[in-house]
Amino acid sequence: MSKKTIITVATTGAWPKKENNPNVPMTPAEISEDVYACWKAGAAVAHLHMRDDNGNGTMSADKFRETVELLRKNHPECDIILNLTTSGDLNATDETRQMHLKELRPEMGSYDCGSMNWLHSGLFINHPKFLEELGKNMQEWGVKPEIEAFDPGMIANAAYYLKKGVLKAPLHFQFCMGCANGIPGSMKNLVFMKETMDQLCPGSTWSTFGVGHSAMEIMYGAIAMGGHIRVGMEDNVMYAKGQLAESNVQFVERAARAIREFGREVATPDEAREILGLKK
Amino acid sequence: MTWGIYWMFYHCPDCGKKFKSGADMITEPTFGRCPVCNAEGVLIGESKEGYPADAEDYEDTAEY
Repeated sequence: MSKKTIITVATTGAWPKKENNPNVPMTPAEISEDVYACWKAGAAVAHLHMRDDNGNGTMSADKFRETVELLRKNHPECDIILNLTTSGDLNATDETRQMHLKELRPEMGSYDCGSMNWLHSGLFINHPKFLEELGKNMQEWGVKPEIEAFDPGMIANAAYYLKKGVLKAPLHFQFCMGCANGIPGSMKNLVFMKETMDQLCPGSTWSTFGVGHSAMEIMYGAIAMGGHIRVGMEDNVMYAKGQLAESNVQFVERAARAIREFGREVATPDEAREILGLKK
Repeated sequence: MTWGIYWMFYHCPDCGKKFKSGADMITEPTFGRCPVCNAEGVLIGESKEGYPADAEDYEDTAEY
């Protein structure tokens, strides 16, 4: 087991707004500065969503471009791995969900490996046609998929795409725990997700997070099990019960402390590249 | 893509207490039960509809 643990920061997501937490970064300028601060605090990967001018989730390639350019222009020394979402707006088309990957060629992009009900009220569609197209395009564009699995069935779906050649080993999973309609966040379920992955997609790497109440349990569990962790205001606007998060840096710093206290080390971006099989 | 805690809001039929449970804790025995008298709550709203204007006054049943 590697002694390095990768911290991914998910700065913004598609749902929290300033009214939920005034410290959520929303604009390209805010997001790029936040990514830089989180990198300094120990984050090796930044998972990014964009917002339109009204604060709603958008797949606007312009917003992604502006954010990436601001980061590179203002902080050229920042070598954080960029992981751009492909699921930032439920009304986006298959095309707009991929355009920014084609243009910007980030090292990673999210790959939501199945469809599900969304908030007990709508649909989060990842049609087989879209997943096949996206998987092939990501291979062609040199973008490593981060396979977001909201339940064990999505891991099985990834195994299917692996067998078809749509995805290429070694896979990297993000176990999304505690989301409405997804697998609840608990240690028992985290172990089950990992065992399912080991059985169906051996040799894969994995990271995880718990939305809401299970955040700490999942974070500590992942560290103990040798996985990697994701933190940030996309998943939790509360730092603790009754306490709004002050910043994404606050989450990254806590994660880094937990990793070190456990006796492991926080992976640098280059170490994360080695673990994930990325070419810089 | 995630979307934070999905809340379900309740009133206690016995003591009238307002409380809420997050769907991420749906496996917990405290889910939907009054934190004061343990009575099963009456659902009055949730994140998608009937979100109460005084949502901040509802106590979270999770023990963390």
